[in-house]
Amino acid sequence: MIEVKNLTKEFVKYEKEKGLKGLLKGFFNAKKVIKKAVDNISFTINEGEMVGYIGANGAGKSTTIKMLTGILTPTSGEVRIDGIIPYQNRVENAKRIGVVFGQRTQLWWDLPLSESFLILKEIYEMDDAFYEEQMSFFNRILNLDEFIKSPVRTLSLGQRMRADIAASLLHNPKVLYLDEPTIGLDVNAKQRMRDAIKMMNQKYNTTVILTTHDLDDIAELCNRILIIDNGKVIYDGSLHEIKEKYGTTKRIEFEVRDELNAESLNLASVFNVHPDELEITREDKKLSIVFPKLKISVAQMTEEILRRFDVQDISIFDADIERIVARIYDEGKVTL
Amino acid sequence: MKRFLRKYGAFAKGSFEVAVMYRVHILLWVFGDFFSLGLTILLWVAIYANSPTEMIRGFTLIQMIFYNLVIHLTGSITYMSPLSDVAEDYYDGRISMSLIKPASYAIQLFFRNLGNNLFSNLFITLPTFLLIATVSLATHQTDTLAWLSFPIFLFSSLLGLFINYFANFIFSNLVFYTDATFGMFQLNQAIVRIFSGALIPLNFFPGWLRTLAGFLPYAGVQYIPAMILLGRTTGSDLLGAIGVQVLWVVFLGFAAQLVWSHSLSRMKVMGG
Ligand SMILES: Nc1ncnc2c1ncn2[C@@H]1O[C@H](COP(=O)(O)OP(=O)(O)O)[C@@H](O)[C@H]1O
Ligand SMILES: [Mg+2]
Repeated sequence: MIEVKNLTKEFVKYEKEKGLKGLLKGFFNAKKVIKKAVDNISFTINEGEMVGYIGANGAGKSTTIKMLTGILTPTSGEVRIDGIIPYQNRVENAKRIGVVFGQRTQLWWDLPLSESFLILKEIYEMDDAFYEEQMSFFNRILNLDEFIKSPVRTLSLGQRMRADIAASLLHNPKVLYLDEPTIGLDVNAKQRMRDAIKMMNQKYNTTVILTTHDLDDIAELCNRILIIDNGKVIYDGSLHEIKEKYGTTKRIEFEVRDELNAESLNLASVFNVHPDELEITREDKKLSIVFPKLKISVAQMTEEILRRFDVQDISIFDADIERIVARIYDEGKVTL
Repeated sequence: MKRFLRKYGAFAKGSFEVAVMYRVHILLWVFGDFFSLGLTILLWVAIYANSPTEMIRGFTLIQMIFYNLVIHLTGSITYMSPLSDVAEDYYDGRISMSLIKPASYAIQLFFRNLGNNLFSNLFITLPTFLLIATVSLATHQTDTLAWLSFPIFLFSSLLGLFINYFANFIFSNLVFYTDATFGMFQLNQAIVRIFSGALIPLNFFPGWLRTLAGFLPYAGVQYIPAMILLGRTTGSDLLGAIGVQVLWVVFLGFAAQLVWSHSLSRMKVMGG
């Protein structure tokens, strides 16, 4: 079980003024600014859960993962993983975790891939039988055999990520941390990664914490999401719930001929709703309206627009998850 | 102990294999190394040719040549360069990949360096040793070296290796506090070369510099073992010298532990 309590991490940055003068000045007395990368967050994750940890760039996801894995020491607050405090007992914690940082590799860059696995076998003190069993399992689901003899630096990104995920799971960790594991991968490679993660979770009840910008990763793997914004957790709950709440909108796109500006539509008063409940954008000939589907039916909205504009084309959409999350980042809070 | 060696030996194995992979680069480095040894010896020949006395500070020319050969030998036996690894690991954030392993960073790094050290022993120590033996026989200077002390010399060099590693590791922690990587390397190299006796014998130093050298661990890396093989440290002095080395190993080992845990607690890790 992962318990995070009032976790905070501050970074001290030295702000420098622009130009050569600023550089020289900064050399001696740069201005100190404190950045709260993670700001008083708390959550609990049970064994076997798969949790999506999402947020915009710079929200504090990686910083959180680094504290959970014992790489960084928090400024304040506490992390306990099955009772172990990772940054105080890093080595003990490291035996029980697997980590993938999408932009890095734990493989030996210059050596054939197989060497990296053999080295990991010794580092995690695996016996031969267990090692063989694990290798054949990952071979089967990730097809490592195709490139196991090649030096890691010659692998494609997709191959390297497959190898990296195998490396992180080889010793059968209780908790798997994945920081943007599908970044830059094509659709096929992404699917392979997800399958491997899913199978590991089913087979060993591995706890998974995943940060990603690909919401399909989340939709396919996670039943719970944490949304972090500016270092604060702004949502902790099921994906389903958030879809229910924020998915209560429809979007209709009309292609219109007239040159009317969107503000003069006055739809809020026509339908007797609060103006904030509508989102109207006009771009060239495209008029896009997002509205609460429980208060206004698609038929009513369409009828109203058709009556007032010369419409050439109509498309109707459900609210998609990207849109929901973008809206949440925008608002910086979630109201359920 | 066996488990310890298996686990950490894996790091040495990896870095040795990388060294084999890059053998051409490394053989060039070896070549450069011997080339600079040759230049140093030529320099001393010129200095002695212009000296009014045959003996400078207790060294004849032939003894000075042996001094340089033996210092070269100790240099390669004790070769450990954690500073460049730390700087690289830190600079591009790769250190996080070492920190997720169930293994102490300082010990991982020691074994990574040991892999390179093995390579340096194969390609520098062995040839240098053969060179010394050949020169010794050819010049009939068999008594310039204390061959009987050879096992003690090896032991003393091993202590030197640990001192070298710990001292450099401690120094390399400055990288975490200053963010300066390149300058650190230059500074460390200069300090080590001067105070380990790699540049000139320490007894060439003026009094105050000698005193300073006595407070630094670097003499224990190359100078002490070299003076043993050169037969200049004998009897009870020899025991004292080894004792000093042992004290340095213990002291620096503890200091490295302290310094590292402080660094780790305030470590910034670069990159996502
Ligand atoms: N080593 C560091 N020094 C200073 N600031 C940092 C450091 N690491 C991260 N930050 C800052 O902390 C914030 C959160 O970063 P991060 O956790 O990497 O975000 P995410 O992974 O969500 O994109 C960012 O504003 C980033 O600039
Ligand atoms: Mg990140």
